[in-house]
Amino acid sequence: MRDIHDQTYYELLEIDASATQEEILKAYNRARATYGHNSPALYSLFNKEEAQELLRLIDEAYSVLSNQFRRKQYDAQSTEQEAKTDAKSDAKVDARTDARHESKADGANQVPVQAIPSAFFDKPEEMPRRPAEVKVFDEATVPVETRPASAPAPVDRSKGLGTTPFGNYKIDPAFEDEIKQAEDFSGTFIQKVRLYKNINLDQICETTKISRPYLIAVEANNFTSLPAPVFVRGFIVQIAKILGLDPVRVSNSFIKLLKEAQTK
Amino acid sequence: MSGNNFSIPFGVDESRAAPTPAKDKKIWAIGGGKGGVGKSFIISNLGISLARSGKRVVMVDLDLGGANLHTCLGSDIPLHTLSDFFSGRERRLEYLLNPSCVPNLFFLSGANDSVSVADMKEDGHRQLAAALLNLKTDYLFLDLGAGTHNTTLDYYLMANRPLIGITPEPTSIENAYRFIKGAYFRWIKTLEARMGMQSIVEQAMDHKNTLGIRTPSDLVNKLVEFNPEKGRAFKAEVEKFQIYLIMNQVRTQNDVEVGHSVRLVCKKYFGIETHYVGYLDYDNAVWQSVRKRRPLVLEYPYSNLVTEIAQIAKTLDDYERYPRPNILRVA
Repeated sequence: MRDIHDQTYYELLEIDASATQEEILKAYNRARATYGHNSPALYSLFNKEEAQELLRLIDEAYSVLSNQFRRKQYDAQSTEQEAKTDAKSDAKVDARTDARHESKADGANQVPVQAIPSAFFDKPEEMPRRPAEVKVFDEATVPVETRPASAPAPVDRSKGLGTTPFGNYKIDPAFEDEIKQAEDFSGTFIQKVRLYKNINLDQICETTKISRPYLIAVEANNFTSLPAPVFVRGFIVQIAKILGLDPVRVSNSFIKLLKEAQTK
Repeated sequence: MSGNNFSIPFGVDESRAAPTPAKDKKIWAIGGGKGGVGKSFIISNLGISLARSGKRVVMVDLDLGGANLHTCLGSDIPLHTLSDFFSGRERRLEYLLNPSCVPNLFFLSGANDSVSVADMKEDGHRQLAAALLNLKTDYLFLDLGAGTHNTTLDYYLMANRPLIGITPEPTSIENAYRFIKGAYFRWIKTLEARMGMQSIVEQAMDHKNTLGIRTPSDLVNKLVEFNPEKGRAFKAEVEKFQIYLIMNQVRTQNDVEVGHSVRLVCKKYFGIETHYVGYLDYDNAVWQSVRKRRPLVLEYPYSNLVTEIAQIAKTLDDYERYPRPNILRVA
């Protein structure tokens, strides 16, 4: 087993290169449960940061492998990379390359994560290759949440505390008014409400079982990365319920924005 | 563990190895680090399942000082015990085998041994290991005690199917990881000695922070980089260490999933293949049968749990179609 950053998407999800979509989804759910918040299986071996890094890579792997078009491109790129390394290794035996050959039986003849051009992560016709550091979804738009997911403390409304299924937050009357009057519930606004209510993505992810890449795409208004509107409506209803918003109003507004973006 | 005074595990001391080992014997050992997770319960019922299908099974209670395999098998305190072997009164294990309530199933007991047996010198264990390898039977089951003592780990590494018994509690999982870590490092140490790799491993470990070695699998990968030829051979040997996981006292579907998670984490952290061979439901029938001192398989033959045990026995036995040598490869 190689360093997690050198592992292929297939190795990260512990599946064969010939895995079906169903197997990929199953492996992804299992991996998320394994490295997710409060997983008992991590105890004493991986710390929180390492688990988060693994989760990030697993999300990245899933977002590529679950999309048949991107997966095909990834596989093609891997084969190309493989051929190149083969040619190189004729001249100089590279231990690492050889290690990869050995693991071929596991369906591991893919390029490591770091070597994959990010073109896979965006619409190929629009996007020429970008540097390898670019992530599947622009994580820069996802604010870092520092709040630990602790058990909810007793609520004291008199001190201006609101409550969510995950804990408390300080009520800001001005923002509460803004929420009440809001008409357009874009991803950005949904994210603002989520952060205001001290809820992190992992918590929504675990409760709703909506995958993290989709949640990130919703909040980034990245409509092209989302599935068909019928599914998105379901996602938004779930998210709105957790955030204590009116599910019908929020989902109608978001779907309207989505359809507008699609007709453009 | 690995940090203790290292001596060659008794299984690989070839000068002492049995001259004509019973090569085809299948050795299953159950460990798990924590006490009370049901190791003796699992292995005794697996043994009964196999014995009832006509296989000759010998079970050895290696939890010296805390032996109670005979109770799980529904037998009284036996007349012959491993004390007779260690004291030299009887060196032929065949004569120390006690029959059980199931035909084809025999056991070697550590019960009622003198207190000093638990502190037996390594020499005695080495002789027992050699004698066990020489014993003629279809299956040899080793029931290990809790903890990660070198002796326990060496018996564990004698098996060609090392089983791990865990429950879905953090305490059990933590101790199981500790046990796997112990066995894994013991195995690496053995290989180092056998393949003359000590200096390379030491070099790597001296610079483990600068080299970014955090997990055992990182170490093995760095060795391949340092010395591709020896490193690859070393890696191939290391990968022979595979474990078979059984989750006990499962109450919910999530508990079942914890087994899969442990499997994935073992692969990522240790780089070792872990086979999740099955789980056993939490069932009141267990404590009821233990109190009656009757094996569950015999007392509640139609319970769900018995079906699950039979299924695990079958799954493990199916692996035997693809034989693999015992880890230390003495046999």
